[in-house]
Amino acid sequence: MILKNLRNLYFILAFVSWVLILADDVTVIRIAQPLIPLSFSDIIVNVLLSTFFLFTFLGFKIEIGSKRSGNFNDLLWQVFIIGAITVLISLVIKSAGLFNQNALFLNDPLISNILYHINIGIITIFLANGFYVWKKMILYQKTKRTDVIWHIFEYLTLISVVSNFFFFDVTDPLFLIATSPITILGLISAFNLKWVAFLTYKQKWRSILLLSLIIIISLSFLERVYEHHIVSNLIIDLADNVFIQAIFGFMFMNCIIALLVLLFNLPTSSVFEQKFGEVMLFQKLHQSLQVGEKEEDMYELLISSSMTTVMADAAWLEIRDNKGGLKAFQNSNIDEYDVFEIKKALRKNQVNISSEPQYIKDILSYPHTEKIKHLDYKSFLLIPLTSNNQLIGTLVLLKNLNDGFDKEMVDIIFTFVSQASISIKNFRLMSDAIQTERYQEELKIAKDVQQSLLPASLYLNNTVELSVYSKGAKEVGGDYYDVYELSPTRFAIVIGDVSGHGTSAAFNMAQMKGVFQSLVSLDLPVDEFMVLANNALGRCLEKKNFITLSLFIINTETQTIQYARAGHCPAILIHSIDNTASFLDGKGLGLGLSRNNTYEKHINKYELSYSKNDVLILYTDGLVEAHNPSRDEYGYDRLKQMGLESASDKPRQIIDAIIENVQHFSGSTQFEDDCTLLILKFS
Amino acid sequence: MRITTVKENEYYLIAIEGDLDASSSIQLDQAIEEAVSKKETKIIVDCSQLEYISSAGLGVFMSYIQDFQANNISLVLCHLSEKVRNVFQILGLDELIKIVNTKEEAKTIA
Repeated sequence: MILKNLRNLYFILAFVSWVLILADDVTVIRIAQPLIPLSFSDIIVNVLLSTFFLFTFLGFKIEIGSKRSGNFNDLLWQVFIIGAITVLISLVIKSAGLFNQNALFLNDPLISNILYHINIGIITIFLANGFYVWKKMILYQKTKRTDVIWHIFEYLTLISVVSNFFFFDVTDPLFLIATSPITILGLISAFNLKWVAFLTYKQKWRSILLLSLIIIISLSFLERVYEHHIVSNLIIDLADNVFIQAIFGFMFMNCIIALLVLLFNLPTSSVFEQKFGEVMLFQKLHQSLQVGEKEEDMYELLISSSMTTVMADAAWLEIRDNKGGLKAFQNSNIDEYDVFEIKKALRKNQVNISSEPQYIKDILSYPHTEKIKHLDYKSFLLIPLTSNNQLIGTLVLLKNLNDGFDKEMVDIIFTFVSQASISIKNFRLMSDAIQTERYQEELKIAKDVQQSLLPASLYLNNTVELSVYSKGAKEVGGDYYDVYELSPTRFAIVIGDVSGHGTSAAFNMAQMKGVFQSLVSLDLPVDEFMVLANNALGRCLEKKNFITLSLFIINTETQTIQYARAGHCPAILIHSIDNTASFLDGKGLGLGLSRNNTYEKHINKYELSYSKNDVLILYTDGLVEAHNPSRDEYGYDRLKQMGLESASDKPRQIIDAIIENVQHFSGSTQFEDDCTLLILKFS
Repeated sequence: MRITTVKENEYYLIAIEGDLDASSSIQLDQAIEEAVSKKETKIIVDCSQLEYISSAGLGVFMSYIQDFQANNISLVLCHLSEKVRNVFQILGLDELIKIVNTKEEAKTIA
């Protein structure tokens, strides 16, 4: 914003100076008595002229400097447009004089001076604009050296504005020697033509045209300047102005050099463009790796880019998956049937895709090619896509020329294809990573679901004390337990294990809970419960999944336990009277193992009574299957022994003792499988 | 885990070595699948080298029970270690799958 204001200020100052000079001119010529005493007039006019030049240039310095570099055609176009407009204006002025037919009009010192003065303004604008446009072009991709040289040149040039105050004979050799440093610096700068290289073929032509036009415009200005110089009734004569001449010379020199360079660049331009295109292709290939693009887009890019790079007439691409199966096929300019025929012909000639690229100069010179003769493809380039020495695909490029691929092309395409192979590999790694992440996310959800399926609090009544330990494995397992109050003195307790791990285990557990909650309220005998549960689960569980379950109905009034064991590890009852333990085993098949109507044959109902201070130990196989490094399992006997040793404690302490013992035995605090332990103590 | 299959006369022998867990049970599944597709009717599984069987491993056996009944295929397990046999017993699978001590016994009832 400040810069913009500064620029406007410069332009206003320049304009004011210009108007003041004009006013002075008019007064000098019209009124014999000028406003300013003649002795000062020269100095004042020169000061004004210098400020006009300086501020116009400074204004354009800001104006052009703020423009984005890179679009050189636009910059040249701007120079041309300003030049064209100024030429137009000066032509209008000139023609106005011609139509007037009045010789006096032109010879009138006032009019010719005013016209010339307008010309000065126009030319200065043209030159200032041109000068800074050139600066932009010269300093494109600048180095420290070019930057320094330019700035010395620019400031020396601007300082030369003071030359207005003196008279110089521009043809004087001494003068030329004195100003030669500026000329040399300008010349050095003029050869910084890096921008030329970045033009496309079309843009180069356009630049040549624009430069030619600018040169013509400059010449027309020069002509105008000198035309008036000869008439020479001028107060301010630009033809004598060193500053203007220097800028003119600089621009002219630049235009000519650039024009020549552009002309000589034209023939090699297409090669450069191609190389540049190749670089861009690589860049595109890298960019395509970014999130959001698919592996399929890569194939498209690979095939189309390869074809453009080597100017192939047709191509196809085969991509194999990690197991070697065909994953993708992409063809361009050739139909699938022809590809099939060509592959058959290649196979007959023992041309197999291996890890080495192969080049066939003329397929039609091979035998067994009758069927593909009509296709008119002669030279083939077969390039394998490999990653970690594994073949992940093949790219085949076809040309209808004999020996149509030269070494350069082949080299480029190899690099390109190996780059693409890496990209494809990366794509796969990335999608694998995403897959894993998604899987872990699912597991987390499953774990949460599983936790929410377990009862939040366990309380029967004040004659039973109950504690639970439940520890999920690293993976999601399927341990399940639940309680249900049938009456204030009768409770159903269930403990089970769903086979399998992961999301499906959590899902099956949810089904188990649904079955339990709906059947238990019917208050059926435990074996009938199991038959119905088996029916229900047999219909919804996957064939390989099953559930082990033990159901206990505890009557605290009669102090009896009715139970059925459907494949679940047998519970242990510690009798407090004689401190003995018994396993509540007996016949019982896991739920879902038998899916016909024979399940009732495999399940039994058992009943026993308990007494005060007896302890019932319920658990899942994760506890007894916990093993030590030498793979011995904790087992039922150790559990029974621990139960006996700690039976006099409260349930919480019994749990702590058992878990500590298991962990001590296995040498790890982390269970491999889910592990659940429920202790009931009767009173 | 390693699975080897041998054809002995009319018997199709599958020997399991090592641990049969969730990841290795796929191999057992393939071996049984192959036997079924070859129209074998007498399959004997030698468990002498089977050290551990998880619920996924058990799931493989049970997933074929109905197929076997429907197609008159007999599957007999032999040489189970005490630990492995206990797993089958607790689950009640010993009532559905024939389990014997030796291969010879297995051949007589298969």
